[in-house]
Amino acid sequence: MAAAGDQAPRVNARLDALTARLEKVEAAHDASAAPKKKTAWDIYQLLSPLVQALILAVLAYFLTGRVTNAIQREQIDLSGVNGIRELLVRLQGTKPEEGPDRQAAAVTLAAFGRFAVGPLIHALDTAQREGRLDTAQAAERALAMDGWSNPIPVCAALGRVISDPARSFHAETHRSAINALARADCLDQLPAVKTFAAQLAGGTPAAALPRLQQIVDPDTPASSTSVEKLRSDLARTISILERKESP
Amino acid sequence: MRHELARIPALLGLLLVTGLASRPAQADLGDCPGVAAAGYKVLLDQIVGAAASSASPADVQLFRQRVRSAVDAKIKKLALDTDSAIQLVGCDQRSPAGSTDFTNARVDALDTRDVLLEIWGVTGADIDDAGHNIRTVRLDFALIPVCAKVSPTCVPFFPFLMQPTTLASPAAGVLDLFRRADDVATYSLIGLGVKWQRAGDDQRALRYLCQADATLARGAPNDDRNALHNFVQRTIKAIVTKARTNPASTLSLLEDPQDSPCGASP
Repeated sequence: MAAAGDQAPRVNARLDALTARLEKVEAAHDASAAPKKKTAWDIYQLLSPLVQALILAVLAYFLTGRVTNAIQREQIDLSGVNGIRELLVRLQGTKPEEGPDRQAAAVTLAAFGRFAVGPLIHALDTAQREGRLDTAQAAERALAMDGWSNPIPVCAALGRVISDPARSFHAETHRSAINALARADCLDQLPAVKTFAAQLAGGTPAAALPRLQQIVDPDTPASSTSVEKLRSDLARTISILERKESP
Repeated sequence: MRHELARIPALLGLLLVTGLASRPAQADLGDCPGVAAAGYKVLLDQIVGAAASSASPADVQLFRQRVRSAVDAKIKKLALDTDSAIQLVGCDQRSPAGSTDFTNARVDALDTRDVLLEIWGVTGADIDDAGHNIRTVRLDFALIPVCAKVSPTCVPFFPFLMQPTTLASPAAGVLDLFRRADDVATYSLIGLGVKWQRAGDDQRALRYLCQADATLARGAPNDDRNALHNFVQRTIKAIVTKARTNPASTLSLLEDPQDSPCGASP
């Protein structure tokens, strides 16, 4: 009996120890059962399919829009060819009663932007060769107006006219191009204009005529009056462009 | 995108200008392909019968032919006298209403094409002071290279010839008109003189201007002729003054050009 009485405290102590361990285990279990805080990686992993889908959708929207726009622009350009053709025919009308229509055709052609540059230069040169002075004047104005809204292609084309080594253009086409360069503020063509002016500088207009004939189409006549007018217009264009160039 | 947006005001401006420019700002004179030819030119535009005219179409046609042949004869003689390539160019589609049709741009374009003179005319019916029905013949001239006013831009002289006639046909009046006046040749000589002055050949310029001076001094004076005569004399004086200060001038060979420039010119 005494031995049983001696063992009771030990049993109790063991029971207490067991209880304490059990509580620790329970506490540990409770701690592991609590929800863990999510990291950025967890959030990324969770949202990545959604984000990828969204990015794809946005890319698809813009790419499709751009491709569609490009296709539509080409379609507009192609449909504009017919419009340009009709306007060119109207611009080159020769009857006096067609005058107002000619002016309107010229400025409407200018609205075709870079696509009108080549046809307008062709119409200008043809009119100068054929002595259709009102048509030439209308084409020159249209080129200048086109240059206001599309300076890069217009200025580059006019610069090629005055620097043409193939001598393809009439003397008066050169003069129209020089005037249009001033009207369209073609600052980047100032060196080309100065080169042209240097070629005609020095001596009387009659003395400089052979030099002009080396620049213009050899099949079209140039006169000393052309030299005189070109010199005057070159000086004016250089002055205008230099004023614009300096702030 | 910003570039595209930046173009919008420019395009709007272009459309505005397009709208404005599509209005008929000036009457169209009509093209004359003959101006593209080389050499000096005298343009002969349409000769029209006035609206109130009782002239028949055949009369007007005859009138046109007479004017053309009379001017052609004058020009051919002038070309021989001056040893210059001058030709008459018919511009059947051109019919100026008056001097206002000759804008600065048009005068400039014609001048560059070496047009010396543009002529147009009208024939019509009128009533004289005694109440008789008469015919009138009128020819208008634009002296393209000759600036009556220089500033701000060159405005040419616009003289005209007017001939009332009791003859039955206005065409007959043309002969009267040209018999009386040698203006086509005189005006062309002035144009040639001004052209050569601008080209830098003082000697040749002086030769033609002096011929014109002599013709203008002989004719019956009127406002147009007086104004032209003054212009010619001023131009001669300017040439001589410039020649005296310019050793390279072709006139420097002359002995004393200031005293009698026209007498000294060859």
